Order: sequence, then C-alpha cells, then structure tokens
Amino acid sequence: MINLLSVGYSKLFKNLAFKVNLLIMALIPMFFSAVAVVKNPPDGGPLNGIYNTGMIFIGIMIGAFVSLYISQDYTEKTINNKIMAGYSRIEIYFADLIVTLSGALIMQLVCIAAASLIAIPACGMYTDAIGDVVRSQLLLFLTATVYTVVALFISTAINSKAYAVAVSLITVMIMLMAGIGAYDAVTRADEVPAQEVTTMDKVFDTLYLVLPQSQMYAVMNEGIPAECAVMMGCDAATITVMTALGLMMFKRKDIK
Amino acid sequence: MKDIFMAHMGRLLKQKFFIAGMVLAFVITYWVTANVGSMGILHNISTDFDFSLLASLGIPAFFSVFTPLFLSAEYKGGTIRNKLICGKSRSSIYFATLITMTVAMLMMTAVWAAAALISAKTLPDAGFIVASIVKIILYNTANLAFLVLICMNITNEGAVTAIDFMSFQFSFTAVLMMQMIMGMTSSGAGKVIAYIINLIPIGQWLSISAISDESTHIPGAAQLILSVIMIVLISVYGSRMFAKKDIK
Repeated sequence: MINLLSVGYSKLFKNLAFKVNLLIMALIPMFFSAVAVVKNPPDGGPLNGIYNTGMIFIGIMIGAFVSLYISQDYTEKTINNKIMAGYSRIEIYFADLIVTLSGALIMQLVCIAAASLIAIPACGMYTDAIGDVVRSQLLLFLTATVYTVVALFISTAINSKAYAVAVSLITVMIMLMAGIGAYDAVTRADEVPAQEVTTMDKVFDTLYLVLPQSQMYAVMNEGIPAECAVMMGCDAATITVMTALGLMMFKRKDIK
Repeated sequence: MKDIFMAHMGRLLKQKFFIAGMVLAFVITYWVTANVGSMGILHNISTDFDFSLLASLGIPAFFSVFTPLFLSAEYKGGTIRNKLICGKSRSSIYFATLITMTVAMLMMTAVWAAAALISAKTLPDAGFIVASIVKIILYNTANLAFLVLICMNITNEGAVTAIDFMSFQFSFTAVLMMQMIMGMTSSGAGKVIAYIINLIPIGQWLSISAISDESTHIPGAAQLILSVIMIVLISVYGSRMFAKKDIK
C-alpha cells in the first residue's frame, strides 16, 4: 500500500491536468476576491467567507482530473502491472482514492490561499469564528470527497479514456445543475409566506441536503447552514455507498 | 476531400450518441418552449421563441462532448495515418472533418428550429427568427472550429475530451466574469468588453437569450462578422498546426 501511495503521489505531482486544475483553482478565487475588494466600501471591513467562492468550480475540476488520472493507468496498462506485482484490488482502489482525495484537498487549500492573498492585504484579516471556519471547511471537503468518489467510480468502471472523462464530467455537471436548482428552489420557498408543502418541495428539500453543489452554495451564502450536521451525514453516507459500490465493481472487473 | 467527408458522414449517421442527441434536442426544445413560460421563471419574455433560444444552449453543450468522442477515434484507430498513406493532404483531412462536424451541427439546428416552431404558441416576426437561426449557425460553427482544432492537434483522447468539455464550462464562466467587470467599468470600456463577450460563442448565445443583460448586446451584423472572423482565424490556425503535427 505504501508503495502504491508513493507511486500515486509521484504521478499526481507530475500530472499536467492536476497542475492546470490548481492554476484554475487559484485564478478563479483571485478574480472573485479582486471584484469583492473593488466593490467593498472603504469601511466595509474584512471579506469573510470570500475564500469559499472558488469552491463552486471544484466539482468540474475533480471530474476532469480524477478521470484523466485514473484512466492513465488503463491506457498505459500500469493497472495490469500492479495486479501482477501482487497488490490486491482493494489496496489499488484505496490507494487511488487516497491520492485523488489528497489532490482535491490541495485544490481546496489553493482556493483558500489564492482568495486570501488578495482579500486579507486589501481588507484585513477575516473575523469569522474559528469553529465556524473549521466546520464550513470540513463540510466543503466532504462535498469535494463526494465528487471524488463519484468520478473515481465512473473512471474505474469505464475502460475507454475518452468515455470515462465524458461520462464523469457529464455526471458532475448534472449533479452541479441539480444542486443549484435545489438550492434556488429551497431558498425561494423560504422567502415566500408558508403555503402547502407539495411533493416537489419535499424532493427539492431532500436534494438540497444530499447534493454537494447545493451544500456548497449554502456554505457560500450562509456561512454555516442550519442543516450542517444532516448535510455532513448525507455526504458520509454517499461516500460510503459509492466507495463500497466502486470496490465491488472493481473486484469483479475483467482487466485485460 | 469528398471521400473523407463521405466516410465521416457514413460514420456520423451510424453514431447512436448522435442520434440520441438529435432526439433529445427535439424533446428538450419542445418541452422548454411549450412549458417553461407557464412556470413564470423569466420575466422579460416577449414570445415563446425566447424559450427556444434559451434551449439552443444545448447545441454547443452537446458538441463539446460529442466532437471529442467522435474524432478521438481518428487517432485511436490509426485512421488518420491511413488517410495520409492513401495520399490525402492534411488540409483536406482537416477541412473535411470541420465540414462534417458543421453538417452535424446544421442537422441539430434544423431539429431545434423544427421543435421551436412547432411548440411555440407565440412567435416573433419571420425576420427575427431567420436572423436568430443564422446567428446560432455561425457562432456554433466558430465553436466547432475551436473543438476541431483541439481534437485534430492533441492525440491524448482523455485530455481532448476534458479540454473540449471544459471549454464550454469555462467560456460560460468567462462571459459571466466579463459581465461582472462591465458593471465596474465606464461605458466606453464596457462597450469593448461587450464585443469581447460576443467573440465567444457562448457570449453570443447569452446576448441573444432572454436571460442576458442589455449591456452585452451589440448590433446583429457585428455579431455575424465576429463569428465569421473567429471561424476563419481558428480554422486557418488549426489547419496550420495540423500540417506541422508529427503523426505517429
């Protein structure tokens, strides 16, 4: 396992897709920070929460990076070598999961650092409570983990590199749009006076709690959402189920 | 060039993904045009055709996925090498591919237009409909010129798929970012940014759709000229890059 991780990390830091993603994950929050700094009045105070803005793009980034990273193993036949070297499929799957998750965590940290690089010198240090920051970042990391396990599952299931990337990106895009839709529906429903709750409202409420993108929007707009614990629970359940499914599928997969 | 084009068309019409895309284009456009109006989501709507224009975003979205999947087979299967061995010139291979993808896009635009005209209860005048269709065809051709440039010049199929798909996502983001910048600049600079937005195919979609900000609007003739400039520049640059490419 240690050897697999060592090789994985070496491959990760040489991966061009990962480097490009890191660059994008730095530039986007820097842009949002710069806009917020320009719009912030002279006595506007620190730009609390601005470090989360770039995270709305992390799903797409993870979808592209994970599928490219994993499919490289299949096109270069490295996966066959790993199996022939005696590593179990569980070890291979978990090593890939740990490495890609580390990649997602690095992207999240780059996103925070890039936004802060402009926001702190221009408007001063954030005044958010440290406990809130930790909880919001933990929730955001869990949402990034959901995207990672989904992309890993798809990339492991599909042998063709092009199709793995396409399916993974389309899935992430659907999750992203559904999340934004659910967030919009729930926040709009909160603004109007109480009325009869329809089945559609219940569906949107559930999607709002389960989908990573709606959770990200909730963190971005509200700091710590009221349903934070439930959202974390939903993320943990999704991660567990997707990882178990991925492992089951990978153990039975015919690798040529 | 005709042989390569015919071979591409034969393959295109057998593609299940393309056929499914055409069916989806009809169903989604029909549903959006006929039903979204009653949901009251958008307010500055004059006719049902505005909803069809919104649904037309599906065309560049579909081709950002379909183009790399369709063209990556050229390198993967070694077809491109065989074409060169058969004595076909690189420019004929490149432009036959671009023309094939453009024909595919025209077919999808025709399906979109048919669904829009059948399902819309209220329509603008014929001149507006024709102008919109011409704009859609031209900016989608510019988009395809870029997608084909990537597919024909990068061998790694996974990277090509990721770049093409993300070009759609990021051009959308870039347009929104430029709109944010427009809000902070003078009207002169804002006009320049409006033209830059319309250089990007998704920017043109935004400026003709009902969700756009007035500030992104430029004259229709200018939009058409910008699209033609983009098509020519990208195609010429792409074919020159392809001419120099080391194909193994």
